[in-house]
Amino acid sequence: MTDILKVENVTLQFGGVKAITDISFNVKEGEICAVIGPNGAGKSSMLNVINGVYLPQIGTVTYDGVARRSINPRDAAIAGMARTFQNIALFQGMTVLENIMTGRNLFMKSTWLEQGLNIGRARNEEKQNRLAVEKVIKFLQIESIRKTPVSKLPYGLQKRVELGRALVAEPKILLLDEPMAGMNLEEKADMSCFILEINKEQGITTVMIEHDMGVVMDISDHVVVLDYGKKIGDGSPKEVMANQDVIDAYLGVSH
Amino acid sequence: MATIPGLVLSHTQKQPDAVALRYKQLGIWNSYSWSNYLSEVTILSNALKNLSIKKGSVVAIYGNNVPKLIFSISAIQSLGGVVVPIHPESTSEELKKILNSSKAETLIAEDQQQVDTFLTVENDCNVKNVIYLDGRGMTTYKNDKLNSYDNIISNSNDSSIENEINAINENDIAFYLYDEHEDSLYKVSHAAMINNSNKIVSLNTLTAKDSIVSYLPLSIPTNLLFTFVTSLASGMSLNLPESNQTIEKDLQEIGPTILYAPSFVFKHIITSISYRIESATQSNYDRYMGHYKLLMEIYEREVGGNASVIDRIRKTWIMLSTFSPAKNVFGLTKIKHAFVSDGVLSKVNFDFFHAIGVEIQHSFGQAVSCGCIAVQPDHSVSSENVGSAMAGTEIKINDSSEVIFKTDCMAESLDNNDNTNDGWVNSGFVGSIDDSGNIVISGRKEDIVTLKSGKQFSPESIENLISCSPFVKSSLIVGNGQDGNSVIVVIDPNSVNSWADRKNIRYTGYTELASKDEVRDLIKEHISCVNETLESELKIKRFVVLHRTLIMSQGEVSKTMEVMRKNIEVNLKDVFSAIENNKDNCKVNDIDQLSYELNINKI
Repeated sequence: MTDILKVENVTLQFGGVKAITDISFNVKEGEICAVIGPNGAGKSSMLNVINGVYLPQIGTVTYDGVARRSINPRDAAIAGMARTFQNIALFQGMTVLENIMTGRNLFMKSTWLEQGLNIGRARNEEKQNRLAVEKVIKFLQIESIRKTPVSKLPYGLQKRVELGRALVAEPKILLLDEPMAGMNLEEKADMSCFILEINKEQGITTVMIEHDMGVVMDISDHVVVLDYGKKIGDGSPKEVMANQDVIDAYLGVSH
Repeated sequence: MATIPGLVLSHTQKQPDAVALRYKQLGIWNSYSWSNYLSEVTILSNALKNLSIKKGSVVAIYGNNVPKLIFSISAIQSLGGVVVPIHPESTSEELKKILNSSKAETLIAEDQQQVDTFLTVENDCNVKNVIYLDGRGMTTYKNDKLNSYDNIISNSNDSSIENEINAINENDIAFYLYDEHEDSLYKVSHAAMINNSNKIVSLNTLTAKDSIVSYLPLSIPTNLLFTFVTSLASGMSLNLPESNQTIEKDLQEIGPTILYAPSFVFKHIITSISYRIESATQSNYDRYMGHYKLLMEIYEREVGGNASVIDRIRKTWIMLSTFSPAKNVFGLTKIKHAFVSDGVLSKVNFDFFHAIGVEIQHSFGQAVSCGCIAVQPDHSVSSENVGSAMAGTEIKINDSSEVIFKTDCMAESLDNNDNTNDGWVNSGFVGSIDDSGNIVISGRKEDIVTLKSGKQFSPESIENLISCSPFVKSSLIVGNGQDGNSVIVVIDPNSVNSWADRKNIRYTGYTELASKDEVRDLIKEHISCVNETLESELKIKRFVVLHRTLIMSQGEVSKTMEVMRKNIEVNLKDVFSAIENNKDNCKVNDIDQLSYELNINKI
């Protein structure tokens, strides 16, 4: 399998604070790669570097064979990167359907006037986009809340809607920032099933930041461990679990 | 007389473009006309022929009501095959029992859930072919028996099957129906099923212009008769909801003219209204409560025949302002007939539906009687009976108060489980016949409770009274050999949640909510009211609020949400023994391997 994503010697600094120091890792096409680490380890910053929100001072990110130091987030989306956020970033006043529809933004070529009057290209686009959205709604089993405003939904379902919005963008690679944070056991099980299915059946490569070790060890093919902005482990879940540095970072070490 | 595929064919000839089937998919209602319906059946039928389905072959269909499963019924039968509908939530044991008794060799399963359940019993049954409709989640499955619906269709053709359909005899077996309570299968012919259905059609003058929503699986015999067969017999359109979670919305969008459901669905409508009202603004809450009281007063006068003109004007106003919108939310606006499949609604609920213009009609039947032997006529205002015997049916009460019947639409037991006596079938229910010849069902014979004093009664009648509160989901009387009755109450999570929010009661989940003193008092107050209507010996002395709901997969409730006493007694034996030993509290070691403390409260 080829590497769809290569992170090479990336260093990211905010003023004097080094968020990420000289990190390199590869993500193979079709795998679930988990990025783990204690709070402040630089995991979310890493995702932000990958999809171009942050510009690293040193290093390159090679995605789909193209190496670059920076990418505009919109270009990243066009190139097939979709993501969800640690803190839910949905439009609270809009319905589930409308929120997921926003994920189809890249596929809308018609002008606002055409869309407003529902004429010309807009009509066909609307149909195609709605179909894509409905397929995702069915996949995520949220038919019963399609017309419910997002603000009325429990946290677990909002996370699912966010995943839906990322999925309708028809990504090649999905970046999930703590998809299971704050969920109960049942919701975690559902979300794990969805992630596995997206990966195994639709073949979408997934990079996921997650704190729940049970989930990480169960579903990921590859784990990268960060601590204080440095990489301390990289390998299969089994290898990472046996790594002394990782154990020290998680359980603490006596001085 | 006709056969089931024969009816599809005749509707195609008579009204090819009329809507036969409507279903919601990907958020949009799609429809099949009768001619589309027949062509889908034809293609599947030819595909099944390639799989060597022939006369006498038994094919099980296992899933929710989706168009492909509906088509498969006629497709299988057009080849002379027998259809065995299986409930999508059936457990492995049930599935094994049904597949083995019916000797089915082919299974049409809806999706991964059903296929997975099948795979657990794969080696214990004779099934050689499994056709699944939705392959999601199964790409890694390696099993030669599995084949997708789309795959078998792709090798098919649309050559006419009219000759095959005409060759089927109406006395051929059409279905094997599973009776959950008796754990037994029944053989039903095309003629018996259609004949019974025709009686319902003519009694209620159902026409091709009507529409019905079928949202319970067709494995429930009464549901198969009232929705699927009746839609074919009358030519009306059958509507299938998108999923189990969207039924409310789907009903509202379709606005059917016929509603057919077990009593729990009607109870659910009342509960839903109640918990929405509980979370409404104070002014709306007060208005609703005021209008509700007034509506019931006017209804009482209407039934008594002394409603004044002013009453009528006031009723029109409260219907327009409050209850018509509420009816619309639940898709009840156009309802002409609303059939209740299992027994009776409590008087309060029955009267409420009649007062808002939804004519509830109780019916009674089982698998052995092809789904129905008695149905209330239109405009009946008695909440106690289930109507009188349908044409071709005789019903009487034997010496042990059991309801026995004879009907020309009989099903035959497949397991030689003979319930007949001199041609009369024992229904397993006790009951009576009132002065106007209507049948009153008290409850199942096996459930009868005998108190220490020797007093016998059917617990269902009291449970019905307790369960009519929107806060109670189900209840179970414990009284055998006791001084007085006790009751186990299962609270309704939705309505009690809304109520608790309104009262500012804090809780983390169902178990904590059920253990709250305020909830105990709420239930206590309701039981005290029920007690006032009961004779002194039957009054409820103690009650327990259960820490969880009853679980279908554990057999604690039936597929139509009826309580299954025997299984509950096993699963909750600690509660039963504490009640029997007059304790004040009990420690329950539950099926989830956790233990819970429950209080046994005195009234």
